[in-house]
Amino acid sequence: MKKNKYLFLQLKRTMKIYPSVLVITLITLCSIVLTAGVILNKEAQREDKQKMRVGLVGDVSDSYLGLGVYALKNMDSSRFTIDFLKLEEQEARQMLKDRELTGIVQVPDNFIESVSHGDNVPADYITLNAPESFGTVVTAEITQTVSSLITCSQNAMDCMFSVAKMSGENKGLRKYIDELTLLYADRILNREAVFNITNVGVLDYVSVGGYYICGILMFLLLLWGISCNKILIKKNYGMSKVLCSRGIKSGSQIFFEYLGYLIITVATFLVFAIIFGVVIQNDDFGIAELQGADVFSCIGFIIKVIPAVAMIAAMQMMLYELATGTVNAILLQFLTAVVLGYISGCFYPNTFFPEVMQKTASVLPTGVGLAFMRKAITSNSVTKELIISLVYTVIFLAASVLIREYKMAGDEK
Amino acid sequence: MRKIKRLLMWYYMFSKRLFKRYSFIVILLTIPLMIPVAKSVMSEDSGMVTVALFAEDSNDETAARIIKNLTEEESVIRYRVFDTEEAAALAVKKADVDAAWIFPGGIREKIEAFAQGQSKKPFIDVIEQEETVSLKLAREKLYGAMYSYIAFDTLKYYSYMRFTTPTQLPERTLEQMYINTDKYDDIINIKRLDSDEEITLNRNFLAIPIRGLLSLVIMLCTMSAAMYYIRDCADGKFDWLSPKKRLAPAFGSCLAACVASSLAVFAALFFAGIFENPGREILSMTLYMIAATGFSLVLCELFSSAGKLGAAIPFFMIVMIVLCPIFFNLNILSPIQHMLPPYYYLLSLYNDKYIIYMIYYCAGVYVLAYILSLLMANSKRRMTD
Repeated sequence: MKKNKYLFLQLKRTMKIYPSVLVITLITLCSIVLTAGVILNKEAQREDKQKMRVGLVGDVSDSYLGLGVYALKNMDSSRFTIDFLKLEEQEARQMLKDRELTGIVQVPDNFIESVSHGDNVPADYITLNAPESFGTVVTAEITQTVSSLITCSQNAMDCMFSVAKMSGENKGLRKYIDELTLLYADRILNREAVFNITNVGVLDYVSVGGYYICGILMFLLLLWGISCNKILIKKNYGMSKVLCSRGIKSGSQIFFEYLGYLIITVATFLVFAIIFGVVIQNDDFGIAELQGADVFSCIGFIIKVIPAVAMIAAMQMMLYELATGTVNAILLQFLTAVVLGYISGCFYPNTFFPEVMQKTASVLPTGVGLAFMRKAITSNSVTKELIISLVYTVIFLAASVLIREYKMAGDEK
Repeated sequence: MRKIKRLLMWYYMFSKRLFKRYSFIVILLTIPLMIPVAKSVMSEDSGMVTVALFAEDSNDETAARIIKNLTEEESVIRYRVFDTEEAAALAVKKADVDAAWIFPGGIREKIEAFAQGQSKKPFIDVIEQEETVSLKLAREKLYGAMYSYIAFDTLKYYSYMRFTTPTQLPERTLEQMYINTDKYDDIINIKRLDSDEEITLNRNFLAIPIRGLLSLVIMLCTMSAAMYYIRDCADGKFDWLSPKKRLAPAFGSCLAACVASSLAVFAALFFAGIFENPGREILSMTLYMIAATGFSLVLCELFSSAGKLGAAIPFFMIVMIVLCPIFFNLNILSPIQHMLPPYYYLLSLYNDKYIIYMIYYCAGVYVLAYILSLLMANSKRRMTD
């Protein structure tokens, strides 16, 4: 009877704080959706959504270079991945600052002449004055490859000179240079011809878009623990001891507090599901898993992943028991969210990580939760993840009870 | 002078309160201690694309050399060598790898035939789940790894067609001549905008967000301290102070958490090996601390309850993750980007202009906090009147 009353009081206390938390969380969500909308809209306006755009500035008046630029834009296989734009320097710099370009290739005066004389005046690949991003790292690697293609061809040209001289050909070498240059241009432009590509299709596998939906959901769930700090932070254990003396032991206290927190967590994510369901009815963002989805399927997904939500909620509960004080508790929640979220693949697909990290992530609560969500979104069996989630939930709750017992005993001393 | 003394006194008192809790010290120490572990794990084989490699003829020298070149080069592509074609194909189907490249037996002859224009038949089998931009770019690397053979075979073909014969100039001699002419440096230098200095980009893409995420730890600590202060105010701990003078304890509270977390982050940056010029690091970090404290002071004035600020913290965190150059470098919602201290801090390390902007930002944010504190004090006085 007392326990039921405590549960009722817990729910009443939680519900008193919940509306303001929910309103602020919804503002958060709307801001995220709006930001995502702005980004996606900006991207959608570009026809070549996946292409990297590189500016080309400087002296391209040389007929060879002009031909090279033409080939890059119209004949080369890279035209499907990188868009080279011939621009004025100021315009290119402004576009780079506006992040409309990944980088700028600045061709120095008489570039081709210097290359053909074997006296390389290097071109500059210019990136933004900012921390590196994926784009800059990838394009830098590609420029290195391009650089090695050119230097290998130059070596061959030089060698051809020596062979020509050895065979007594000292005049009219320009003709041979032109011929060999055209041969190399042909080999480079036809490089895709050496690959026999077979696409085996996407089997039992979540698309990148679907993957990121699960990642964002997991990260939101992890940060949700910070939003609920007022509900979960304990200033002291005086009330807990009083409750203990009235027969509501720490196990029951933790369980009822957890139940209250779990109910509002699930309720909040159901609200998210409704909003998301309405949004994706108009636009599925090209994500395979969202095609044909509606509000009900989003609600169904959240209901399916309740065990994973329950596991993360229990982990957050344990962390709040572990850290005392507002700053400590929030800091611990955030560090846990960032570290576990990062390792488990909320920010980058987990296949990017070293194998040891992938294996570690697969046994972490966030990794199990993400796998649960990924399998739920692709309608695969989640039995293994369900069992692990339940085991984790029990472990976290048991740890919370032990920590509370310990802290209550510490308070008495 | 007295005002500064008072601010420092508040700072000292709030620092003492924070450090009284051992868990705070433990959590702060965890930040730099985590970094070496993370660094050693991240230095292991990782990649944004994973490719399975298999050579049909394990004794083929050319295939072995291409595989060696690919696997030994530092790259955003990760390679795994497989013993059978079936295993490589299965790894693609199971999504363990993104693609498989199968090198045929006698690849040298096939490269030669391609280079001499005798065969247009593809000879490298590529198995993929689906075609993506990353995989197309990865193939550029593969072609790059084969190109020295292609370049030589083209040269051989042309030399024998135009100038000489294999008896006059044996292939081995020609090959030696080609190897000996390897004299050219890179033809492309990488530089940053507004700088003539050649740079080497950080290829460990997994480490790219570390600095940004660490900078958010400082913001989070400072905002949590703002919550502390709001809760103290609600508990009446500063009732003895005139509302106009409450900016001093708010400053002390936020700065105490900010300095403590900054020291931990500073140590973490050092251990992570992403410490740039020390003078620049100290200057940027000092300004960032001032900016983060100012930002939190504004929040202290805007939020009436600690619970509401606590609920809004994830909002601020997500906005900062998306709009500051941590994972992405986007130019969207620029007015909001310019409201966020990490935006200035992260760019200030690469661009002098942002040091100046951060000074302006600090001045602006403190003036705003002061004006807001006066407005709040006036509105409270009117309410009590």
